[in-house]
Amino acid sequence: MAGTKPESVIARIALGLLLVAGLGPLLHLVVQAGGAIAAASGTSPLLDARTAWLLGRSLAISAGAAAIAVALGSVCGVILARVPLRGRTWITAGLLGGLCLSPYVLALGWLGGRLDTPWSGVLLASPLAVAWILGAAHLPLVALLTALAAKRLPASLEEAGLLAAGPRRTLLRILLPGLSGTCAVAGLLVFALCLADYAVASLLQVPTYPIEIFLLYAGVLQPAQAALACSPLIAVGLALAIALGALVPRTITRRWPPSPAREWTLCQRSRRMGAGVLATVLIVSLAPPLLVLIAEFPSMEDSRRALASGLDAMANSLLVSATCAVLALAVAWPASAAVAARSRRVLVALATLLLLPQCIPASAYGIAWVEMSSATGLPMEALGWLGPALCLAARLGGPACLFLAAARLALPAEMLEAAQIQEGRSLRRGLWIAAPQLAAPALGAAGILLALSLNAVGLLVLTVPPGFEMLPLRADNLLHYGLPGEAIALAIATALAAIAPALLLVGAARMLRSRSL
Amino acid sequence: MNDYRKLGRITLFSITLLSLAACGGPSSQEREVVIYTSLDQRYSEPILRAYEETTGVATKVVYDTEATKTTGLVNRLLAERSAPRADVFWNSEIVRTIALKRAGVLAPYRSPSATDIPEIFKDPEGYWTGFAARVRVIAVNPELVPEDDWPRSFDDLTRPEWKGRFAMAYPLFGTTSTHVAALFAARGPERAKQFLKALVDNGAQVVDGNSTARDRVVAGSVPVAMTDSDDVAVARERGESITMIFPDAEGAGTIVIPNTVALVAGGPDSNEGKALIDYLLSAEVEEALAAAGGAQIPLRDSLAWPAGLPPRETLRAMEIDFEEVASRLDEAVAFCRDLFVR
Repeated sequence: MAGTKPESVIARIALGLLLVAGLGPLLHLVVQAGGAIAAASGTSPLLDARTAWLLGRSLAISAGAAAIAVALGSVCGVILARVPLRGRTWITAGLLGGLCLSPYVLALGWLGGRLDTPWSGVLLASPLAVAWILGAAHLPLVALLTALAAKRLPASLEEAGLLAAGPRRTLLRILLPGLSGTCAVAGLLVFALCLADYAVASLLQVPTYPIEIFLLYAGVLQPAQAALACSPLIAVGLALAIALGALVPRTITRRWPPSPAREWTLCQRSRRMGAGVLATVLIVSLAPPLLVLIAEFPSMEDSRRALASGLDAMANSLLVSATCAVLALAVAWPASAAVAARSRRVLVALATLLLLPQCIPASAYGIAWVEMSSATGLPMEALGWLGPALCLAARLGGPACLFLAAARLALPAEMLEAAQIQEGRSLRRGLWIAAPQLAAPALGAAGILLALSLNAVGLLVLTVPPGFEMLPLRADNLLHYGLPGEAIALAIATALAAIAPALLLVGAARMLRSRSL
Repeated sequence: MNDYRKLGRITLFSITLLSLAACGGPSSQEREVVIYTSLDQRYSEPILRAYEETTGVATKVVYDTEATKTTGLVNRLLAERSAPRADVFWNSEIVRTIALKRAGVLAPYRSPSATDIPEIFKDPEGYWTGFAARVRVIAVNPELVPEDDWPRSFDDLTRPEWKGRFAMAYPLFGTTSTHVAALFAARGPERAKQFLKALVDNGAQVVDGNSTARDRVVAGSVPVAMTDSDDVAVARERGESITMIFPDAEGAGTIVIPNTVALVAGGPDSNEGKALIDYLLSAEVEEALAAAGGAQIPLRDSLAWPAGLPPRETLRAMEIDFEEVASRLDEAVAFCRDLFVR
């Protein structure tokens, strides 16, 4: 116990800092909303019939997207965790790469293919299409979380199930119920991310609540009214956070008995079927827009020109996103240890961080962040590119904490017990024993952060330091100018640049782990 | 606890390194000016690079994006009001510059470079100055519509022969919202509302932005669209089959929307800001913007007409008071929000 005390203090300080930074802009919005209500002297209703309808539609789209992401992503996750596919590292890297492509880019791909078919145009301009695109875009997030959770389920239960009832019933009766908690948590996270989406709905011309908020900011320049319009989303986020705070201790942190054997698979003979299902899911959800985008890929000369002129923007984006990932992981590391120790307060804080900032549209969050930092005298000019990295880490830190906590919980209990005996001091234990084991999932968490932050156009345009060009802003300008090929070349090159070092480190971590075991 | 001390030192060292790296800006002797611009980076970047090369003053730029409907920077300027980071705001349109003036974000500055710019494009109090304009046009796919049948007025689009055959951008943002507010100012709210209702009744295809409306014409999905002259000029430069008409040449005319430049109140270096404004308002910059892909129209009559645009004599500028247009914006946007339900 003497060793865990300082770790717990560090976890609380780190989470406290992230809570202040992450929830500060929301408090600012609440204060602004209060001002708007006071100025209207109660005459202006919070939600009229139209905005209430839009809010309902946004909630329905987010629920649909979360359902799609969970249905498809959990299947992919189970296959990744249980079917002995060759090249699973590559598939995982591919999923991370898919996450690096913004939902906006996927929507562009779907739109690109519809020009010759009017019926598909009608279908695409519908809430169902928005839900499908958002769900497919967030599918990798669910798949990666599910795969991690599947690793920590007790092998003995599944082995017994396989012997007694066969693979199908084992899957339905043992594996899926064991993963339901993780799926619910992942679904809530996807729900929150989709609730705040502006780009896909706007591109497909489907009016949603975030578009209404954006209109108040950008159309008529009424920030106080926009802040007031954010309050229902904050309330939804709060309700979700409370639900999650109650759900997490019963589900993803549930401790299973030590498992005697871990090297086994649900269906040794079903490699082909698993590969087929995985390929079908990915082809149906992600392949059509990607094929359209590849068809629009520019010539080598255009690509070279795009890369030459966009190299600074790419490097700057990777720097900011990597710094954001480092900052968030610095908090997520101790926080995940506290989650593994099932500290209720930490879980509640994590649930709040995980969902509340994600529920607010990026433009509202970014504007509140800038207003807050200007009003409090935060030296944004002196912070330079750390400014946007801080803002992104504050908004996206929650998902990183969750991912790393899930990975820590997936470590074999026997290994942790042995480590405890071998090394009494918790920090050394963490650095020399847990770190090599968690290197791959930590990189996965970094990858998720990198992906989410690389695409944060709405936040970056508000926080980027002057003279510091960034990739999504440049890509958006190229798209607007009518050079989608160059924008795609830049986006793909950046995704590859982000994944390449991660793959190398995953390989190195595997080597370290095989030696230590 | 030694481990924690070591960790603390490592963390402190890392934070110091990161801060030094992030703060590593120019030396105190290096001159620099901070500018926010919503004009497409493709056009504004060469102009600002030329300024750097000529004067040796570093320009630190933030470009806006289409994803934020080119109003991300307006909101950023409003949010930074208590601690401004920009010296100059170069807006690709005018109405939101006036909104910034009303919000107290801007400072007055009458540039000596602007003496030959018509007074209608200058703020009487000196808070903003216009230059290099775009025009609201009708884009036509000549392969789909013979020249004799081209619409000559925005009102033509309310006629039965164009039912469901034209596109326009969602009129809540950008120059389309300025256009609608200008109609409210020029025609009066009732007539403007009737016109907009007639467009909707006639099956207007409302798309995400002006460039999307243009792309629909190029792709042949619709034969005509309401859009901006620079969007059509870019497509023409790429060799696409599209042309443009300056509408209402024999009526009230079409709206001419200038770029505007303004000094930010309390910016880091107002002297450098004023020098950059002087440069941006020079004839040299208007000429460069006219020659660039967007074919922006110089406000000085003495300068050459951009290639790729219809002849100068076919353009009739709508006579409007931009302050009134800005005042009408909220009413116009509120009306359109309810009318153009997508």
